[in-house]
Amino acid sequence: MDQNLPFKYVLSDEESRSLETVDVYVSDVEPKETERIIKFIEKYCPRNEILDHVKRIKKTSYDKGFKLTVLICLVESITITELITLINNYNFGSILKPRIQQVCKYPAITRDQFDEWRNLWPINFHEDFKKELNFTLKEIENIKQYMEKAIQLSIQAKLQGEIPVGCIIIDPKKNVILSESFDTRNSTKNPLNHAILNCINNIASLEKLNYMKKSNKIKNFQKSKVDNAVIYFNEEDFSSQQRDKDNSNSKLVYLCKGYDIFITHEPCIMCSMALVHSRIGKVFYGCSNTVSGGLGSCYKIHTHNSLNHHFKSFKGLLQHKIDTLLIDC
Amino acid sequence: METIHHKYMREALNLAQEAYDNYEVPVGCVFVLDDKIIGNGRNRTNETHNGTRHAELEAIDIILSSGEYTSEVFQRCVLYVTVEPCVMCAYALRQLRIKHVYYGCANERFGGTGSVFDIHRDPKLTLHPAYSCEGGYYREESILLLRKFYVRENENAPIPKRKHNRVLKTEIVPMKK
Ligand SMILES: [Zn+2]
Ligand SMILES: [Zn+2]
Repeated sequence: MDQNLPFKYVLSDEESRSLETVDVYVSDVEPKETERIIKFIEKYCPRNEILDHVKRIKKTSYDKGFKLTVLICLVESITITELITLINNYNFGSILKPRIQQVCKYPAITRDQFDEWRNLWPINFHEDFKKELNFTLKEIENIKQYMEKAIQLSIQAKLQGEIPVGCIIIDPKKNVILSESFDTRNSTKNPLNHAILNCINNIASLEKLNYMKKSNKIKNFQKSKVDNAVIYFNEEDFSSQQRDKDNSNSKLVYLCKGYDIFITHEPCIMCSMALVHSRIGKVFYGCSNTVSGGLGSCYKIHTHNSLNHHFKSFKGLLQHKIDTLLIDC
Repeated sequence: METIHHKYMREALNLAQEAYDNYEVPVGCVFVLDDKIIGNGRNRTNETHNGTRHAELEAIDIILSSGEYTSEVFQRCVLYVTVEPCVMCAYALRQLRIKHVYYGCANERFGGTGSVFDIHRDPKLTLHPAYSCEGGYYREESILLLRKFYVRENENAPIPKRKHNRVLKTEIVPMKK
């Protein structure tokens, strides 16, 4: 059953693509011949790996019974003349009459795609996609609370003459806020001080302080040393034991690994890529950003094939609140 | 032929070397205004524990915090960077309305000015003007420095990767047109 979630999953291109088809040869067959024919096809006809998601047999039911149709192979892999010669050579000429049929070209990833595409010709479907997108009622409640917090920060930003975008980074396993921040482009006169970069910088400063403390480079942990950050966590909140063991470059890659971010507005392209560089877990945002958004609107950086880290993004969370509170953002 | 661009790119390469010497991914850059370097930067992701502290962002912050310039200065600046800017930095530069970018080698994994995306000139992005971008200045030197870095990283890794990663390859495939 579908959950009624207060946010929408931001689909990748593969997940949102509409039906594309490819031509194949098929033939109606007598049910009692099917086994023999499938053996012939598997042994002698071109094998097409791109059709692995497509079922070999289609069953069409009628009032009085059913009809079976088998898929032979891709049209592009053999000409009809060659195929008929092949069929005749193995004495299937009387029972295999190839004709052209369209099947869907790509595997269905979402249930919606599956429900639509299967009408053309039966296909396989593994619903592992859904599992990660289920949330408990408690989780949904927390998610809303976190976005409320981000909205509070955006209001605070607005009161201080900043662009009203607020964000927080949390550790979902411990249910604790690690860093919170808002846009400071105006006061700092730096056009790049967006909420997310500020928030990541806070986490990094803390990570570094913690690291230095652990390696006895400084004796006392001084919160005041961290610029512009409100910090809730104590040192145990950093799972840095493992990180400290590995003093090579790779540990930095994991700065936000397993953490989630809540931000009132869809991150711009710069911030979206900063989240890739930081290996963020999940992203929740309220309003979409049609002019520079990197997680759905202008680009889908969170799912792009050539980038080395992917994450799930959700949009529309408490959007009505953000829309009404911050009209001029 | 040695051009003025090579002169500035040499400066950027020196910074990349400094990054390498400090166990950072060797990328360096300089911002040039009216034939004068007004700021430089190099990768500091390791030192800062922050995967976003790329050479370009380092240099931009140095320039803006010097108090000598406002952010409008970048509209008159040219950037020389040893490796193609990543997607993040490419959009940072667009927001600053940078005039022009020269880079050394392409960045196949993250490049935002041609390799993965065309952030510098994508007409969909209407908030800030497009900028032009040109690669190939001291390209071989930039690549070799990166390769040296990854070979060293791999040697120091707890479980070294396959053998061919440990050998410094010196032949370089010609640049794609
Ligand atoms: Zn941003
Ligand atoms: Zn970058």
